[in-house]
Amino acid sequence: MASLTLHGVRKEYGQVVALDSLDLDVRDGEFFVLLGPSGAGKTTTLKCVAGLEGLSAGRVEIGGRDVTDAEPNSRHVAMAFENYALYPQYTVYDNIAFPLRSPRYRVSAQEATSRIDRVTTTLGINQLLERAPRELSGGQRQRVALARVLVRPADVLLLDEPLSHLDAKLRAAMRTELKSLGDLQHTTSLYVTHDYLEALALGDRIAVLREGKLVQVGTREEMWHQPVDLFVAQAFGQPRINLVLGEIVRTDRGQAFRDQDGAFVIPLGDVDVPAQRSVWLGLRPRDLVLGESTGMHPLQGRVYVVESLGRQLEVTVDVGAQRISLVVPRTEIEPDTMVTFSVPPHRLLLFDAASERRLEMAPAVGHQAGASHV
Amino acid sequence: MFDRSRRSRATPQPMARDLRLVDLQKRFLQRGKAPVTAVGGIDLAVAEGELLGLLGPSGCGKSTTLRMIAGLEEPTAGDIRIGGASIVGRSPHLRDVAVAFENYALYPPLTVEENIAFGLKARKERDATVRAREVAERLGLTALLDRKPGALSSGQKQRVSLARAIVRKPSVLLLDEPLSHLDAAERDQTRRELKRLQRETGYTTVLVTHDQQEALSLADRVAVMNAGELMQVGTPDEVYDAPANRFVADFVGEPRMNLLDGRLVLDRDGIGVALADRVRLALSPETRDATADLNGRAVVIGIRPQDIRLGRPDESGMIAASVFAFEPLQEVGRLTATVSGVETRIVVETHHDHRSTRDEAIGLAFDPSRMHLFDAETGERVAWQPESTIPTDRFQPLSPVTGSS
Amino acid sequence: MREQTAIPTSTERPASETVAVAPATAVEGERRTGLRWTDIVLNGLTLLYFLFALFPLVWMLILSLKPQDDLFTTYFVFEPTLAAYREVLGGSGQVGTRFLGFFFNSLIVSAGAVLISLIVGVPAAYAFARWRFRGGESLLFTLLSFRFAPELMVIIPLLVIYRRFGLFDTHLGLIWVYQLITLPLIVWILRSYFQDLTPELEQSALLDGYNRPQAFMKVAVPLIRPGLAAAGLLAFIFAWNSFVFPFALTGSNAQTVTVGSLSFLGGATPRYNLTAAAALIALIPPLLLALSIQRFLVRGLTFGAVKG
Repeated sequence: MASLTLHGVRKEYGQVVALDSLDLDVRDGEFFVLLGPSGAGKTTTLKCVAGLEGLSAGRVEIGGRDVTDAEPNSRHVAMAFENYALYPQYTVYDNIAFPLRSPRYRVSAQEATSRIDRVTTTLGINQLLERAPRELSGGQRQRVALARVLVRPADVLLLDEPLSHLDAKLRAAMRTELKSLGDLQHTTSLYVTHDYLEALALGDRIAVLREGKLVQVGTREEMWHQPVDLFVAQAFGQPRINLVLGEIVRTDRGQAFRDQDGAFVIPLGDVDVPAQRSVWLGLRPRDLVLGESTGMHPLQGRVYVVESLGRQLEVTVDVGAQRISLVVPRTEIEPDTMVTFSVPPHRLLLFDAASERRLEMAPAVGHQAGASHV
Repeated sequence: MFDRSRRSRATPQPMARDLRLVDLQKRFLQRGKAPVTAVGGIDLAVAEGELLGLLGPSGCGKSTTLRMIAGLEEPTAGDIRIGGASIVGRSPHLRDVAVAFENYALYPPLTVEENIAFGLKARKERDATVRAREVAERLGLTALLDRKPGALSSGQKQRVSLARAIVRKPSVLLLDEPLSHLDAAERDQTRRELKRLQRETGYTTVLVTHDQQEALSLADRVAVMNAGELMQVGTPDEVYDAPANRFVADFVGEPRMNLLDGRLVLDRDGIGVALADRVRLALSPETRDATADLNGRAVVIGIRPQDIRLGRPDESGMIAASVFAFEPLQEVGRLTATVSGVETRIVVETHHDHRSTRDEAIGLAFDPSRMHLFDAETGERVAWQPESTIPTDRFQPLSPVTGSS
Repeated sequence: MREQTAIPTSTERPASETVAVAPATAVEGERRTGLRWTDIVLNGLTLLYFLFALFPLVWMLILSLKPQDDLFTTYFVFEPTLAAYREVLGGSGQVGTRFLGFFFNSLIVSAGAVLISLIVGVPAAYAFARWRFRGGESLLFTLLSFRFAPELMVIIPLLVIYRRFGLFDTHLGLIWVYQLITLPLIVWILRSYFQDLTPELEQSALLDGYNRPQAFMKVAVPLIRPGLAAAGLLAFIFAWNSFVFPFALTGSNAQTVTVGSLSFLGGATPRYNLTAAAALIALIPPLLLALSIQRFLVRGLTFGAVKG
């Protein structure tokens, strides 16, 4: 068990820069999630930490020890691959036992059996030990891959999108399992995914990766309430955060946001943003409510489409030229009717239009920092 | 209210007709093995201008059904009627049915405009290009008319595929998993546009999908299929609020409905349901009336994560449970709990500000008016849930529980 | 095809057991659209080709069974006799033992060549598959080019060298020269098998505490068994059938069955029946090998290693 540090890690494939000077600090025992779209460099990062790829520049330290030039089998890391990499010629038992038969981690047969027993019981697969990988379902294979990673000691666990090939329901169930496992294990872990739900559920801290660069590192609350830019704000949430392009104008009651057509106006009170600044306004669909509400600013628009989400509705409303999505409890509402909805000013996010970076708003009407730091 | 007439449908397209499937069957014979019944006799009616969602897991027969309507498979038995006239036996191009395929199937060497106009030109229709341009505009493709499929994003290809189907002004429009290959952002947008488009154009549409959210969002009515059989047909609200059997209850809704083994028991408080023979749960008055004679029946209790309230374990009426995991998902909270003696873990959706830690002791309360009971053997609903008179916005977001954290 | 989603019970089914909707071997249901006459024509043409392809073998069989006097006729009706076989295999001193000698020479030399090629070629194929190094592509192409060159081009220089170094008419000499045939084949076939293996399997082994050679032996090699069978078989057949090299580079000691069978044609009367019998007997080892290796040529050996 140890900390993991990346100092200025750079990886190039010919002309292509896959990782651009990454600095990452994973604390001892921390479950760290790296979130990013495909192609962002997530798997490359893991391979560099594992030693399966060499660095073009920079250092990797595990537990304070520089492992940049160390062979993969001497780094004391374990990795679960995205496509499981189970040995098809071995049974499940032999697959999981494989690390325990290697020169480095060899243990006695009894010790192996007892460890395998423990791990497979925790993961709920100890009835599958005699099967071959091809007889298993996707979820079962995934758990075997996990068992293989957990069965022997490691300083750092590397997990490469373990849930990405599972269907939605299975993914949700496995995510819960991983959360429970993570709570139990307390092994330094670096988990990589493109699914923001996994990041929010599992990560003690989260880092957002974009085209080989780290955009933001922080807790889940920081990611949600204080995204550093548009990319991070859009990375979390489904439906995506509503974004309206406009400017800050001065009114007699302080400043207000106004879109280009002027149909969409929200007063901001006393805000520390220069007037005429071209900005993006961010509104999360679940923060909006239908009808009027005290302390919130009402807007009117025409319903474009209504979609059922079961217990809730996703309502898309046209306010002038802006199309805004809301998620509200199920109610009577028809397309092509006029409707009023309310915006909570303290939940708004403002981003500079040119740099796309979030603008801090003064505490008076400022949006509240992410609630309790758990 | 589940009043169907209130749900406004588009004014049907003049060309749109109704579609009826009458005892439609498809069996595949295999050498040396038993024949496989892909579709086992389904009866379905799609009204003019309606969008029917055919929903089910892969292998349930929904794609086979679609292919039979399109004429790409021949039914083993049964009839398919459009506008009252049987179309079985007619080859696909004579059926006036247009299909938008899951993989778009665009012709790579042709431009977007040529792709859309292709079918019309093949029929030697004179105003093919004009109509192609009109439809392209409606789907926001005007700027892309000269591009080839290789230069388009998935969402754009999807729209071209749709345009190609619509431009033929078919009696029935068939969509095969139209959103499955789109990324999250494209999917949301395309889904909205598709819904809007279908409303405005009023084509009779059958949409095949395995994604229950897609079906609930887009369909006027949903037909849930499993292993070649229809499990339930109803509006999205009906299928969500009152699943007719355990399969539909499990399949529809995100997060998944909790399904727990139980038994109906009659004791001095009247009839109730016992969870794992330990905890006794109260039933709603209507359910009690319906199950009064069913003492001892083994049932499956269904309760959605949103219908479980959290409290202290020692409060009266609470089921004592222990937190297995808590996921703070910011939009909501997802708590998974174990109850001793109950094999299945219970998932609860909590307020987004709620926090819990592993092994924390909590109490769970099931809302009796939202509890479903299914027969443990047949899977059929035991007590019919009457149309809910509880307006849904009465159900307040659960407030955070202040407990040990 | 997507893996299946939720099913009624809480257990999952293995990915390979999807509910069949349109199985590949399915036959259409009751409604037949039979165009009978095309079936007849197609089958007829196939039969004709079948006869055409098998004819030389059938003719050889007939030749081998004909009595001496009928050899030069083209009658199909004759009185079959096993005299040719008896003479080739056992019987009359010289011919018999010589043939058996040729047979065993072929066995030793072909099997030996394949064995050496496997020992050298499997690691070579792995290296070519996994690493890109300077000159790698050229080296690979050079190796393949050995197959392009007509053997006749090199036999004179080879003959001179072999005589010089005492390799003429030895088993070792033939095994060595056969590498020109077997090694390129094995390296090319196995390289593509190795390339089909996802590198993550070996990477996983590396992380699990094995070194490269161990990961190679324990993970990669077992997974290309079908490739080993296919390449080995093909290499054996090519080696067994080789004519030019043994013709030029052997005398009486290491002569193979391909060259030896023709020796019956020298002399006053060409003994076609003996040659035919010898050729048919020489067919047997490659045939047996192919039949027994069939079960190793299994598709889908790596099914289940990775998702999907």
